[in-house]
Amino acid sequence: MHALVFFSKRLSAIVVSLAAVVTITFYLMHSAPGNFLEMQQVREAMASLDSKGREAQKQYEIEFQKRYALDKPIYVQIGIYLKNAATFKFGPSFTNPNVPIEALVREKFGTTLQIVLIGLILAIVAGVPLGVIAALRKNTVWDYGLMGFSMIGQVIPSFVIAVGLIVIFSVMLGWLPTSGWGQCRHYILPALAIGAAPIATVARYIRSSILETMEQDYIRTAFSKGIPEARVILAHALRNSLIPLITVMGPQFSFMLLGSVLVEQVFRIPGMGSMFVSAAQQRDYPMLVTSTLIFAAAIMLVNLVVDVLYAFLDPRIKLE
Amino acid sequence: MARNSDASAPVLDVQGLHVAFRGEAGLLKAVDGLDLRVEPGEVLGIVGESGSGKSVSMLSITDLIKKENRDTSGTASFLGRDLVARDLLKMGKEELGRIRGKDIGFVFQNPMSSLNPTMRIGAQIAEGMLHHGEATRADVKEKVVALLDKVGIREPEKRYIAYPHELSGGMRQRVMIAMALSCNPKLLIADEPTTALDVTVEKQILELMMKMKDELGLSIIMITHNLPVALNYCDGILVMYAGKVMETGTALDLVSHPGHPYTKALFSSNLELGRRGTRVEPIKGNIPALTHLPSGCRFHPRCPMATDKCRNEVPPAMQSAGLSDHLTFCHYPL
Repeated sequence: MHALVFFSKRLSAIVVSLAAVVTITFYLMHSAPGNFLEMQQVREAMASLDSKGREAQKQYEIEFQKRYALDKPIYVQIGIYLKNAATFKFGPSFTNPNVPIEALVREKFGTTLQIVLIGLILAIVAGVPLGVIAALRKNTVWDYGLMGFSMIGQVIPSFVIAVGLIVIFSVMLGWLPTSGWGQCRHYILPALAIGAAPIATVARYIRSSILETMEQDYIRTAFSKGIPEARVILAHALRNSLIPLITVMGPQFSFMLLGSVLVEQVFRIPGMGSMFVSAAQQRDYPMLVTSTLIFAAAIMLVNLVVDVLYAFLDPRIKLE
Repeated sequence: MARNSDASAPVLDVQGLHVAFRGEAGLLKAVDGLDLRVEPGEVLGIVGESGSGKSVSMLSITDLIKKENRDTSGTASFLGRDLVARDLLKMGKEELGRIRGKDIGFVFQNPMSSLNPTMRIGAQIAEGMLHHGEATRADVKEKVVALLDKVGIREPEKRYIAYPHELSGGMRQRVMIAMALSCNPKLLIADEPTTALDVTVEKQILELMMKMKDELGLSIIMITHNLPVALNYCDGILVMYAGKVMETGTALDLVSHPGHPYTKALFSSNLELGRRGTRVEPIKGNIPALTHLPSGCRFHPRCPMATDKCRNEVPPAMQSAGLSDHLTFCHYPL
């Protein structure tokens, strides 16, 4: 019952926030200079037309504006968009008038999600053990080395790491392709590039969290039972140390999702990121709003999942 | 240093225990030459203010406080189940691990923070039993439920899957006791077992510990700053001050004729022991910093009877009232 109230509250909050995101995006888009019809290619084409051609072009523009409701005031446009979005219909984009955006999103978001999830798994699978090792070898070469390395991982942006990885593994060693999509080997470098900073963040977080947990009274109790140190760490310290980690995983996910925009560019991966960038370049309003909406929805849902996980890991927390 | 012992040998025999911590402020002498013996079936109370070294001494011999920057010397001979006395301080991690939780059980001060908040209490009790081979996966639940019932927890089946935060303070301490006794230890070390509890619950917990002692034939070391508790429940009492023993004897002897001015001061500073009409006298001053201990008798700066001798010479053990088991470390025993 509590959980039901919790979910309905949180989901309605998400709906309201998403509507606000759409509204803000609409206004920002329209206040940015230039629009789809004014883009360079169209202008150049117009300059070469004779008067008859210009007339036809003008007619096309009017029809175009009508078709996408661009002749209406912005708040009406927003209303129409939200109404359709409620049923997951976003209409066609400017650049690809024959395909509804939702079909594109379905295909491309999956691609982006794959890279981000692999990065996320990498962050946990690699970050947690590294953090544990650093904590157990506190103030030794291991600790300093790992933490120094993770500092580097945290401060270098993902697209720089992406280029670095390409130079080493594709150009110098020739092990992996520089770009492309579809096969297993295409996943490795992008996931590493996206996961590098989160691995570092997770490792640092787990280290300090474990060190703090090891000072707790219940750890002494565990030792007083005579159980071996390894079990004390795995069964008692680690779980309690994971709880604060969950709270940073939400922001980390958002961070990786946004990082994917740049990493997809570097590796030429046909995901949401590339779609978003080209939509922005060409002032493809429906595509731009929809990409923003999808990114925002993903981030909000992940934060909801984080809260649920939190309650799952810490029995003292109830969903309210 | 193994030697065969007869049945009357002490369960724990600590001799010349020194514990010091190396810190930025210098060497912190937490325990300075502690001798104590716990006989089979005995309840020994270690009484003192916080910082007197009572907890540190017991946690050091069982290696439950930080090893870093800690120097521990002396001997702590423990009589195991095989009736062979071994020095706890010479044991490696693994050997000590076989004794902790099995031969020596622990109950700590704050049962809320001393229980793992994310583990069901059944699992926390079962853990030690499984590790020490006191139960198998198949019968562990049954044994833990029986144990919970034994320590007075109602609806033990239901509590088995409860988390610590779902229980009251008294119930949590009962869980701690069940955990400490789960492997039938020979010695229970209870570190301020009732300090964090309501006064109404305090008595129940102490009575439970005494009941379990009689049933299992345990010895208990009860660390407390609560003198009335120690007098009511302990056979022998050891009064500590600033890392040193001040006085040791039976509870009865200590009440009837305390030998050390500090013990006497503890009595008269206690509200519960003071009778109606008598003045409650707080002990003037504070316990000294363990990095800057006074010379001579540690208590002399706060002692109303201190002389130059007290300031300069460490007092030897003096017999009080001609009793060989009532020792007072004072130049002028009362």
